[in-house]
Amino acid sequence: MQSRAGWPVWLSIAAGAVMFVHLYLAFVWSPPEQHMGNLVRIMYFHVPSAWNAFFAFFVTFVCAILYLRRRRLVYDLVSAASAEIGVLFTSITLVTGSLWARPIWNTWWTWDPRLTTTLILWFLYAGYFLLRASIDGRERRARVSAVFAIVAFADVPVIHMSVEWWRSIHPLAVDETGFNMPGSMAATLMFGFVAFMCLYGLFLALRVRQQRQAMELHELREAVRAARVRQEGQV
Amino acid sequence: MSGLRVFFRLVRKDLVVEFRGKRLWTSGLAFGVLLLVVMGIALNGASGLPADWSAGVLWLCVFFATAQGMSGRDRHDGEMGAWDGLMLAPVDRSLVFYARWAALSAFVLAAEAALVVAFFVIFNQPPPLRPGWFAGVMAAGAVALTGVSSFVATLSAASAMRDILVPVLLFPLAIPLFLAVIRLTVFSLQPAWSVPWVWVEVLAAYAAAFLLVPWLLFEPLMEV
Amino acid sequence: MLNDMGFLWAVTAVVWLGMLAYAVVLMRRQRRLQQELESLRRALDQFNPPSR
Repeated sequence: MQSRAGWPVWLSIAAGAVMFVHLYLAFVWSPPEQHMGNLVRIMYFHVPSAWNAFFAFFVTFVCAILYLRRRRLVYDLVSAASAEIGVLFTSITLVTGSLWARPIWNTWWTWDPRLTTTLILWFLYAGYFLLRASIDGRERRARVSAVFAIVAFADVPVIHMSVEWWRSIHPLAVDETGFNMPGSMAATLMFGFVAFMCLYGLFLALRVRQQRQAMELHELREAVRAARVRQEGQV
Repeated sequence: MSGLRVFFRLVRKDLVVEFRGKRLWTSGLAFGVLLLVVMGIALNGASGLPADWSAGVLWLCVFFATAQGMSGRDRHDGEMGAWDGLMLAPVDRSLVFYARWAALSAFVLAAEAALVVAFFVIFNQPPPLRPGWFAGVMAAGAVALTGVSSFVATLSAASAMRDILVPVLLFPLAIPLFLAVIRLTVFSLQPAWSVPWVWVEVLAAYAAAFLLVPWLLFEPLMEV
Repeated sequence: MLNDMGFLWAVTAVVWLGMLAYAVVLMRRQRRLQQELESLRRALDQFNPPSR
C-alpha cells in the first residue's frame, strides 16, 4: 500500500515543477509581441488548455468506442475521467479567451464561430455529466454515455474547421505552413502544451484510481451487508 | 420478412400509436402556439419584425415544441412487452430508429404546418418571397430536427431526468442545424443577393449524419 | 501597459487557481474514499476474523 501511495506525490511534484518552468518561459524567456505587447503571453495559457481539452475529449471518444467494442468498465472509467478534465480545460480556455478578448477585441464575448462552437462543446459535455448522473446501473450508464460521447465528439473537428468554413476573427496560431510566430514563442507554446499535458496525465491517473476505488467501495459495501445478513441469520 | 416490410410495419405502428394518443401532435402544437403567443407579447405585440428576428422566433418555437413532444415518447413501448417484440424483430435494430424517425417526421411536419400558419397570423408577417424555398427549408429542417431529437430521446430514455435532458442535450447538438435553418428561412423571407449554400450544406450534413450515426450506434442503445 | 499586465495576471490566476481547485477537490474526494474504504475493511474484518 505504501508504494502505491507514493506515485501521486512524485507525479504531482514533477507536474508542479514543469508548470513553474512554463511560468518562467511564458513570463520571462519569451519576447513580447510587436502589436499586443505582453498580452501575447496569454496565448501560452489559452492555446495549450484548448489543445488539451480537445485531446481529453479525444481520449473520451476513443475509450467510448473501446468500451462499446470490448465492454470492459475500465474504458468507461477512463472515458468519464477524461471528459471531466476536458470540461475543466474547456472552462479555462473560455475564461482565459474572454480575458484576452477584452483588451484585444474590446469585448468579453463575440459570436465568432470558433468561440461559439467551443461554448457548445462545453454544454455538450456538461450534458454528458447530467446524463451520467441520472442513469442507474453501471453497464447501462457506460453504454449510453459512450454513445453520447461519440456523437458529442463531432463538435471538436467542427471547432477546428470553423475558422475555415465561416469567416472568423479568431487568429490561427498554427496552419499548414507551420507556426506563424518566431521560434522562441513557438517553443514556449509547445512547452506549455507539454506542461498542461503532464497535468492532464496526473489528473487522469488520479481520477481513474478514484473511480476504481469507488467501485471497490461499492463491492465492499455489498460484502459488509451480506456478512451482516449472514450473522443475523445465525443469531 | 424483408427489411422494407418490417420498416413499413414499424412506421404504421408508430403512426397508429400516435393517432390514438395524439401526444406529440397536441402537446407539440399547443405548446408551440402558446410559445408563439408569449413571444409576441414579449416582443410587444410585434408586427413587422425584421426577417432575422421572426425566423429565429419561429424556429425557436418549433425546436421547443418538438423537444417537448419528444420527451417520454417511447414510454408506450415499455407496456405489454412491446419493447421485447421490437427487440425480437429479425432485422437490423437501427431500422427501428429509422421507422420511428419517419413516423415522427410526419407528425412534426403536420404540427409545424399549423405552427407556421399561426406564426404568419400572430406576427402579421408578409408572405415569404420564395415560397418554394420556404416550404423546402421547413420540411428539411423538420426532418433533420426530428432525427436529432428522436436520437436524443432514445439516448435519455434510461435517464431519470429524461424530460429535462431531451432539450438540454438536443440544443447543443442541434445548434448548427438551428443556425442553418434560420439563415435559410431568412433567405426565403426577404430579398437577398445569393443563395447561402454553406447553410444548405450544413443542413445536408445533418441529415446525412443522422442517417449514418444510428446505423452505427443504435444497437448498443437498444440493449436492456 | 499596466492594464494589459492586469489581464495577464488574471489569466495566470485563473489557470493556476483552476488547476489547484481541481487538485484540492480530487484530494478531498480521495481522503473521503480512503476513510470509507478503511472503515468498511475494518467492519468486514469484524465479521470475518483473520483466522480464515
